[in-house]
Amino acid sequence: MAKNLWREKGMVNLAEKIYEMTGENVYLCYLCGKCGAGCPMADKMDYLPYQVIHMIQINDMESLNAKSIWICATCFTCSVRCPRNLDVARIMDGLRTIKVRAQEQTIDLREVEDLDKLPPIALVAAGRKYT
Amino acid sequence: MRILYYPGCTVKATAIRDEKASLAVLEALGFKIVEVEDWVCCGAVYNLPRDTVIQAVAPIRTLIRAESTMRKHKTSEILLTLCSMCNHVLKMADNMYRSNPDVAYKLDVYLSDEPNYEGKLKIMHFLEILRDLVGYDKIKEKVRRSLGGLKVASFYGCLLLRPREVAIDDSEDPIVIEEIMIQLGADPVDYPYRNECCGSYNVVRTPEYVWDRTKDIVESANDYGAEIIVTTCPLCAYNLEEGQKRRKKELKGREIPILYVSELVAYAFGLDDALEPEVKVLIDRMVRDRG
Amino acid sequence: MERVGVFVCHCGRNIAGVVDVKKVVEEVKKHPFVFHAEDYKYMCSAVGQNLIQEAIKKYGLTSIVVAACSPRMHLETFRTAAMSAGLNPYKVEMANIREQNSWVHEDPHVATEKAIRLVWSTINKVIGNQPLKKVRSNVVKRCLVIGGGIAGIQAALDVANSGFEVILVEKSPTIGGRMAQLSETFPTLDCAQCILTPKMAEVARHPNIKIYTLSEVIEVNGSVGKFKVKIRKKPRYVDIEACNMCSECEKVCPQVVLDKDFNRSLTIRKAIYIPFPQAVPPAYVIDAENCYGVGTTRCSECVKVCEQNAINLFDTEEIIEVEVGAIIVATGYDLYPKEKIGEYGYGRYEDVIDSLQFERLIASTGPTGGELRRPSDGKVPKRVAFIQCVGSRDLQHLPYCSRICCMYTAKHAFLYKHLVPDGEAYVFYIDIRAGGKRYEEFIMRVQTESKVRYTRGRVSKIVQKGDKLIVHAVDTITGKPITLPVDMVVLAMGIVPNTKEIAEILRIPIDENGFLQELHPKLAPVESPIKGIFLAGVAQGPKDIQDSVAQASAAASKAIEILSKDYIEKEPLVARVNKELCSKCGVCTQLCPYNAVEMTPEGAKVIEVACEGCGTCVAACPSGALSLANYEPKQIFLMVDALLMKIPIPEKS
Repeated sequence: MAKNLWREKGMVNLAEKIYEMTGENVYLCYLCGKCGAGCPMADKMDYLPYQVIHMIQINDMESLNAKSIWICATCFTCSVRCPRNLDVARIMDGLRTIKVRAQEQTIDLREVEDLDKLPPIALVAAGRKYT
Repeated sequence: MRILYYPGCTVKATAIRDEKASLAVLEALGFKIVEVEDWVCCGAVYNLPRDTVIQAVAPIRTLIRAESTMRKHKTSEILLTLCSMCNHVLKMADNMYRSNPDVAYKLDVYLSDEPNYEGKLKIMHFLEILRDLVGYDKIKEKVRRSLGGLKVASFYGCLLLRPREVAIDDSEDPIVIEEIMIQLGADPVDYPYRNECCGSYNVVRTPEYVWDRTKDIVESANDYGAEIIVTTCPLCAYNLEEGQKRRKKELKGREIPILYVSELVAYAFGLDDALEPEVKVLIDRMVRDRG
Repeated sequence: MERVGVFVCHCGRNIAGVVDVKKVVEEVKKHPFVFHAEDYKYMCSAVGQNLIQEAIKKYGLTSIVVAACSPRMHLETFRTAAMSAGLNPYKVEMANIREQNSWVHEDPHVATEKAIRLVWSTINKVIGNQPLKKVRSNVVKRCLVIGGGIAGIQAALDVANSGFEVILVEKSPTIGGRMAQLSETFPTLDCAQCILTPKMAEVARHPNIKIYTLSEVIEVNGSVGKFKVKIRKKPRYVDIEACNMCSECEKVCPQVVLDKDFNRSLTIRKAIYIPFPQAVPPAYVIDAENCYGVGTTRCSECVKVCEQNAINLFDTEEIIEVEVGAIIVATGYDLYPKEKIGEYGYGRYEDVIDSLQFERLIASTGPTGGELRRPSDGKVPKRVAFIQCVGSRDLQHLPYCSRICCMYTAKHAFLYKHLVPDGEAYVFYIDIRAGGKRYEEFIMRVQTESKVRYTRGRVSKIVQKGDKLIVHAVDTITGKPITLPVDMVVLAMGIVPNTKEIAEILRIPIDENGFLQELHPKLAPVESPIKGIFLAGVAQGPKDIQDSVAQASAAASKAIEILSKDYIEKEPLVARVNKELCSKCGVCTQLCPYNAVEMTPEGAKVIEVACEGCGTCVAACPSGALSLANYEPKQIFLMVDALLMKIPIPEKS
């Protein structure tokens, strides 16, 4: 869906859009894999962070459909270790934000189990990240 | 010393134990705590795209009100936070306001119903206050009841240590909780997962992912002989505790109780009133069992 | 009266493509001192030079301005040409209308106007130029080589074999440098000691080479042809001539310390020791920091057993002063400290070792006698992870590629598989850079013969679990996370140059990464910006043994070029003193970076041979007593006026 939206607006350069949104230049990435190697959520992701970044580099819109962008816990482990000083978490958040701004939601907070047990910060954070 | 205090939503809800113990500890150390008047939720996470400032509006509103409280009650510029996430968000918003005049202008416009933010505050986490304002020696002096070599695993989680510009300690090899534990007579265990992420807010959407993660963390602490895990983040605390219950069958090793750093400090200081009775009983038993 | 000729070059389309050269000629002809102006396609060609020579004779020109490229390119060409037509070379100046104009401007109108100003300004300067003569000075036929590693050794031998004296200064107790620590060398796998020690021995016995070990250069003054050098020689406490290496002293020495330097903390040694058996000079040395004898309390056990009476616990530091004609800097490198890499444990895990430690562990001269045993418990590691690019190519540490790690890691993995045939070797890499002669072939040999498991992906974290180290990585080819338990990890640490102090002492620049800055990255790679100082080895940039040796020979040939001359000619563009104005305040003597100004009872005096014409003293002199030859204030103001396009007409005299 996001894909079509972009086409209509004539914005097809994902790397430029990410740069505009986050100030991060994805072309700095030389695909060393350190982000994926240290990522606590790596085994749950369909594409590892460097793979997502590579997809942005070659303007592959599939990156916007990567499950990984919703799985990233924004823990910044990748960001503090990146040898090219890319803020990887920020890039992942950029992609997620594109989807959220296109009205995509990956959670319905009303259907969350343990709603009354969860710490409020978890719910607030989830509301901000997933809707 | 009079210091400002921003509790945030969770400290007033699921983490009320942390508030009670932390404030009692600080008061015992001579601080006078003044809660920010009319504080609002910080937002829990700081959205990272830079093309918007909306994520900073709530935290800056809180900071403005903290400055008002500071003037009204003549406190110092120190603003205490307990929750790791609040600490992260307030510092990120404060940084953004101070380092970028365009952003500051936009925020001023958004917040035209408030006085302007002057940027005079120094936001400090509970641990930073203990380390930088109190000092380890003074903590040691206050100990009435040693933890008797209790094997404590510190769990820092992510947001206290990352990103670097708002970190309270070295992101790869933090030491502050261990140092405090040593002063209390505990024996900190150095296990590799202490600065890893617990899965955070994934617990709302994909709790299974978090349970897998917390299982690894608890098992690693177990491998290193930890008897107790301490943290300062209410979400880490929930995830670690709940994760052990959910993965009870698969978990190798024992279940490990999760406490707040402040609770162990309060216990060692002899501040029994600041502890939930069951927490007091738990620590009593663990210390006594060690002989 | 001055008669100026102006020659405007097209440089093909380089200048004429943007600048209207005809217009420039036409405009500068309006300058009252210009008697002749013309343009030509290539002024630097033989025809172009001929044009200039003809014009000088035909019009009786007294000054020449060539508007062309940068004076760094062709000033010498035009000066030589003018000289053969009878003109003093210092009456020739160039206006740079290429690099500083046509190459950087696109608008022809703007570029042409700027060219006119630049040429006009240069005309205003040249008419004030004095005809000068080059300053001549004698050459001290001796070369200083700083650093006794393979680069310093090679340079010293080359210079000495050409018949010149060499002073070789080495900071540690022996020459040999990093190469002496290595096991085998890529891509041929000859043992480092076997090919290095013959060269060390040659240095030791060479009649033209004087070695100062435990020594550092502490002060250098003067300039090319005659540098005055001060060397601080620390006490060795053992007479090099008398010591016969019987090792009796070592046996009785009660003080056991960690061998931090040569064996990189993998073993222990005594306080009196030799770094390795083939050390040059072949003599014991006392490590004063750890010896009981040289402090307030004296144990003197070594003195008692030394039959040669070679040990003198009262040995003292010596300052040696020497003059040399040229200097070669080859101060080498250190490994980037693994203590700086947090995610790999800040150097806390005993079995996470750096590449030089691994060299020592597999070297037959090493602490384990060439048997590979890991430091923590002495077990043979059955699975080893080699991690490349540690510190290198990382903006948080070293932004550059250290160039040697891909090759030495391949060698490490290969040698490991020979020592532990049933062991598993994993190499974590990002790229394999094997660009040297026979390097790619070597990599192929390692991959096929030894079946090393090359895995593409950078390691993110190493943790200890029991007696295993867990390597967290990702295979970037398959995208699968890897959690690999291993017995030992070898970090291919990046290399950092040892240049900070020496660059300050020699006043030569270092680049943003600490490497010594060469004069030109392509065309003058072994020259420093200071004449007579040359660079060799890793101090100038990351390189392997092959390249270090080649560069050392290049630096030596540059030094020989100077030493073989009878005298040096130096630009006469030096500072001058107007003694009547000098108030003898001494600011100039303190500020001069070359120690070229001295104070006499009559006032400041410039030592012309040493002066580099930098102008620091001129700018600082509060009385305006100093000036720079051919850069007089009057000339500069006239130049500025022209650049600001007031285009003043200088008075005709």
